[in-house]
Amino acid sequence: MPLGRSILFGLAAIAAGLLLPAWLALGDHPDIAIRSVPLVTQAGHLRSATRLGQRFLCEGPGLEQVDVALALLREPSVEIELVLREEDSDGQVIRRVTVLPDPLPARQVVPFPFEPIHDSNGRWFHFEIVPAAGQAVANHSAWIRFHGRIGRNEGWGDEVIETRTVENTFLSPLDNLRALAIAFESLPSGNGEVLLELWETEIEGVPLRSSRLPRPTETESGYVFFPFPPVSGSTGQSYEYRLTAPETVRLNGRLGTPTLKTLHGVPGSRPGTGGVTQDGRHLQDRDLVFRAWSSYGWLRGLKTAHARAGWRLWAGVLCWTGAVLALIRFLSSAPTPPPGEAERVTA
Amino acid sequence: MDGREAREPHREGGGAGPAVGWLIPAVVLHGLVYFFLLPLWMGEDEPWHFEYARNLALANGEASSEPQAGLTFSQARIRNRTQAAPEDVVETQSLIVDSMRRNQFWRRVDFAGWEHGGTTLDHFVRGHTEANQPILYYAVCSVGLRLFGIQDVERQLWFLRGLSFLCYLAVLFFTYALARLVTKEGWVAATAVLVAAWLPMHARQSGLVSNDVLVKVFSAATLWLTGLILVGRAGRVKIGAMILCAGLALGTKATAIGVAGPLCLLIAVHFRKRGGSLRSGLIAGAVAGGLLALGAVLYWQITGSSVLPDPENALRQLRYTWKHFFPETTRTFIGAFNWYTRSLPAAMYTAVVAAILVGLVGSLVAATRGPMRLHKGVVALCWLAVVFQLMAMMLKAFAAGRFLFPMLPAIGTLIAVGWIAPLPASWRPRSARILIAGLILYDGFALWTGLFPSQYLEWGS
Repeated sequence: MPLGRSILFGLAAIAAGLLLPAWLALGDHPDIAIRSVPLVTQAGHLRSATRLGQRFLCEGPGLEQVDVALALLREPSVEIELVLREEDSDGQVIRRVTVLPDPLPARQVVPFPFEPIHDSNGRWFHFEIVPAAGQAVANHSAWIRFHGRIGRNEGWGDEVIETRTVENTFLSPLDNLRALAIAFESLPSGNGEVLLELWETEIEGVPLRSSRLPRPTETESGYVFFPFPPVSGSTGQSYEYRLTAPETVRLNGRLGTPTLKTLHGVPGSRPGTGGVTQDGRHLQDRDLVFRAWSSYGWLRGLKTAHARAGWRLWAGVLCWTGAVLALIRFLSSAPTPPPGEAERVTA
Repeated sequence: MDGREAREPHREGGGAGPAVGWLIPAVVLHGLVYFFLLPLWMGEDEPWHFEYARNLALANGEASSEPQAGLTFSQARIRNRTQAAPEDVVETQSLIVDSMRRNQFWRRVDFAGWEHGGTTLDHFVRGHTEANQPILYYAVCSVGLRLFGIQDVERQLWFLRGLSFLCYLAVLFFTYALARLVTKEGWVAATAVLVAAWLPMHARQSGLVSNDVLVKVFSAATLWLTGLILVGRAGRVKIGAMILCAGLALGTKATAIGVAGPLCLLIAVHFRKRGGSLRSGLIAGAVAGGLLALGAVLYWQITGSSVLPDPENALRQLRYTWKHFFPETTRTFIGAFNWYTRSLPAAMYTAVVAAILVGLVGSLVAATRGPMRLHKGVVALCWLAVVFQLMAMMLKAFAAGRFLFPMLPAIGTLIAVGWIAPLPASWRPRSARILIAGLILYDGFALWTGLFPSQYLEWGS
C-alpha cells in the first residue's frame, strides 16, 4: 500500500475507533434522572402554600438546568417558578427561573434552564416548583415516583365520592405490600388526622397495618400515599382497608369505589436522591420525576463509561475499530470492473 | 425462467468484484462489539428465556409430583413445562433477580419500577413467562449447559450468549449464500451480508439469550435451500434438508411462519415444471401452504404456545395494526434500546426507512427491467418470504422489528439488489460503497448515541 494511502488509512482508523465513538457517546447526558414509565401518580395542583420540592446531589460542575415532569390538569397553562436552593429546603436561594409550559402535550418534561453554577460538583441542592407571580394554585401537577413497584394500578375515575369513611377490599398482586396510593379530588389540610387501616380478609380486631397522616397536605386532583411497613407474603392475598378522615373529603373513583394503586417492595435508596419535600416535611420514600443537567464533559463521560462498562468498553471500542478498518480495507481494495464489460442486458 | 438461467450462475462484471475476504473479520468483529457492549439481561425477555433453559438443564427428566404451593404463576408454569424441582425453580428466579440487581438492570430499564424487595421475576413483570414457547431452543441450550457443567448464573448466561454469536454468523453465511443465488455480482452478495450484519438491532442479537437467535438460523437455512432448489442446484438430500430446516424453524418459534411462503412457492414451481398448469400449481402451493400452517398451528396449540390470533379480536387487531404496527415495528427494527424504552432521533428512522424503500423499489425495478441478469425466481422467493412474514406478524399484531429477522437474508438481499442491480455496471461499485458507508454511519450513530449511552451513561436514579 502506498505511503499516502497508509496515512489516510491510519487516520480513518483513529477517527473510526476513538474519535467518532467519543464524540457521539460522550456528549450531554443528564447528571441525575428520576424516571417513571409510565407516569402513574401525580401530586395534585401545585400550590404556593405547600411548596413541593426535591433534594438531589449534583455530581458534575456547571449545574445549568432542571427538567421536571408536569401534567396539565386543566387549561390554561400558567407560569411555573423553580426556586433552587443550596443544600436543602431551608438553604439560601441561588437561582429562580420562571417558565410558561406549552399547553400540549398535557404530560411533558418541562425544562427550567438557569445560569450555570460552576462549583456544583459534589454538592447537594434543593428545588421547589411553585405557581409563579404570587398565584396560590397552578393548573399543573408534578409527577411523583414512590419507592415501590406498582401492583394494582387503577386509572383516574369519573366519579366523585364524598365521605368521611370508606371501606373496601382489594387483591394484592405482588409481595411486600408497602403503601396504598388513593386518588383525592380534594383533601383539605390541617383539620385532623387521616387514618388508613389495613386488615387481612375482614375488618375486625387489631389492624394488620395502619398509616397516619397527622397533618395532611392540602391536595386537589392528586394521589395521596399511605405508607406502612412491608407486608411479607402479600402475593395473591385479599385485604380490606378503611380510610377515616376528620371531615368530609372528596375521593376520586368509579362505581362507588375509590381509585387505588398498590405499591410493593422494601425501603431502599438510589444514589443521588434526597427525597421529596412538601409542606415543610421531608418524605424520603418518594421522588419527583425530574432530571438535572451539569456540564458533562468528555473526561467525566469517559470516567463514567469506564467505571460502569469496565473492560467491555475497551473490548467494544477495539472490535469496533477493527470492524470499521476491515470494512474500509474491503472498500478500498475492491477492484472496479471496467466500464462496458458488465453492460450486457438480460434478454 | 429458462433452463439455462436456472442452471447457469449469473456472472456479471467479468468476474471482477470486491475482495470479500475482508468481510469475514469485519462481520466477526462487528458481532463482538455488540456481544461485549450489551450488558447482562438487557435482551428483551432475556431473564425468562434464560430461566427456561436453566430449569430444563436442572430437570432430571422425571415428572415430579411435589406440591406447587408457594410458587408464583410464572414459576408454576415453568415448573410444569420443565419438570424441574420447585426449589430449583424458585432458586433460579432468585439468582436471576440478584444478578439483575448487581448489573443495575433497574437503572437501565425505565419501566422496571423499584428493585428493593423483589425476589421473583413477577416483581418486574407480573405473570410473564416464556414457558409457552416451543421447547427446541431451550433443549439445545440445556444440553450445552449440562455438557459444560457450568453452575454460575452469569457464566451460564455468557455461554448461551456465545451460542447466539455463532447464530449471528450463521445467518450472515446464509445471507451471502442466498444473495449469490440471485446474481454472481460480488457487490450484491457482499452488500447483502453487510446490511444484515450492520443492522444494529440484528447485531445486538449476537449478545443476548432468546429463541429468536435460533429461529432465524433455521429460517435462513430454509430460504437458502429453497433458493438452491429454485435455481436447480439441489437434489433430494437438499430438498429433505430444506423441509427439515423449515420444520425445525417452525418448531423453534412461531415467528418462523414466513418460511411457509417459500414452501408454497416451491410446490407451485414444482407442479409447473412437471407439466401442470400455472393454476394447478398455485392451487397445489396454496393447499400445501394451508396444510403446513395447519400443522404448525396444531403443533403450537398442543405444546401450549399461545401464538394464534383470537378470531373475535381480529377486527380490533386490524385497527391496532394500522395505527401502531408499522410505526412500532419500524422503530424496533431500526433502533430501540434498553428493552425498547429508548429511541433514536426521528430523523434517523426517516433516513433508514428511505434507504430501505429505495432498496425494495429498486429490487422490483431490477427484477423487471434492470440491466443486470438476476434469477427472478430467487428474487420472488425473497419478496414472498418478507410479505408472508409481515402478514403473519400483522395478523397476530406482533409489533416488534426482531420478528422480521427470520427473513433477514431475504431483506438484505432485496436491499442490496435494489441499490446495485438497476444501475449500469460502472455505477454499481459506487452505489454499493455509498450504501456501505451509510451503513457504517447508521450503525456508528445507533451504537454510540443510542445503545452505549443508554446502557452505560444515562442511568436512572
